[in-house]
Amino acid sequence: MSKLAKSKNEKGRVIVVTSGKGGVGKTTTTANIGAGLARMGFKVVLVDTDIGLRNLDLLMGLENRIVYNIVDVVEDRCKLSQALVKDKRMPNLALLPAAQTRDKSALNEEQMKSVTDQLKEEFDYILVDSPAGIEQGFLNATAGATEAIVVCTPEMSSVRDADRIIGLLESKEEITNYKLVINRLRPGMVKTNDMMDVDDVLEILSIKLLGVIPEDQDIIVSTNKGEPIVNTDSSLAGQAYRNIARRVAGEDVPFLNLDMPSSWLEKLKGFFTKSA
Amino acid sequence: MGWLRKLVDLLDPPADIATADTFSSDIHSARYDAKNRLRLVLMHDRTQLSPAMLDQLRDDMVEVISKYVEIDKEALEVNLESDESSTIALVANIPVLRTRSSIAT
Repeated sequence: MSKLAKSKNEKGRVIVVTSGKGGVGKTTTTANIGAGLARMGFKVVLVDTDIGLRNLDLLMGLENRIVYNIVDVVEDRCKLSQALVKDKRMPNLALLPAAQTRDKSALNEEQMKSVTDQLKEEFDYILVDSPAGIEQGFLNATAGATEAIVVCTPEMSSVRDADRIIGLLESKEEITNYKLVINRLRPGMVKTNDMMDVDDVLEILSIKLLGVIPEDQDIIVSTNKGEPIVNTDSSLAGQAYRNIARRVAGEDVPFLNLDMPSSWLEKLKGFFTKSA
Repeated sequence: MGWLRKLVDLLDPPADIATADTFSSDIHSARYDAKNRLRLVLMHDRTQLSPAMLDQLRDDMVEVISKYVEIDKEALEVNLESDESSTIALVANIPVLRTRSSIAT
């Protein structure tokens, strides 16, 4: 039962998760923000638009439950409700899978918009996982969206591509709100000045920050198990994603302190520095 | 005690480049390089003016300005610059040697 069921007039929020660069964590971010919102009681649907290279199903552990996909829906082989895969572990959460045997040309922006328009009636949050790139896949993914989450890592290629994507989002009138998630931050490397930190990236990209996810091996473990990391209480990345979900829902959540735990070196420094 | 402080800083360097101590290694750090390179490449990306196009622009400018004044062609600089508010500007520095007596025809 949806904790905060919206009134009949309120429609769901369609949020696209995109990046430009591949492999920075779009799918992981989509799965975990979605799972995080579902844990809070919202009705959430995750839409995989990476036609031909689907992975959202894998991250959610739902790969064996797929009967129909989004291309079946737009080509009228099934109803939208038949294509939705419900997650038995999280009843508020559903997945609309991508087709695995077609490619990005199997879907166009108009079709995508009609799908998200339908989903808006039933769900509080529609999270659209965009494929990498700026071609048809990106155009499809952004077609029905009014908000965007840009994911990047603190690395040169990723930041450069994120800048391009932000430029493209700026030119889309329908997308009025976009924020940044910085993924795979390594506080240790930041300290030794080998990696850019959050402020460096924000300065370069001039976009508002939604959240920061630290590099965490637990992500690999949870993906292997087909279980979103927000369900792992002990994981710092899981905590970061849970916080991001809360911020998406409108809560003001302070950012986690991602610095490494206090070591003997920190204590020794404290002995010599005048003030904190 | 200063040597001990320096030893501690060496083992665990300060996180903030702006307050980096006397260690010049911070200025040459990978993080600093990344930030500078990105700033520069993004200016070119955003204006769609590649470094090669900028060279072409520079040559064209030399040609046009030389009709009016004699300039130090080697010292002419044309660069993309941005300030804190992220506005990008094309900034040129054109050292003038002496004005020609009449416009060349």
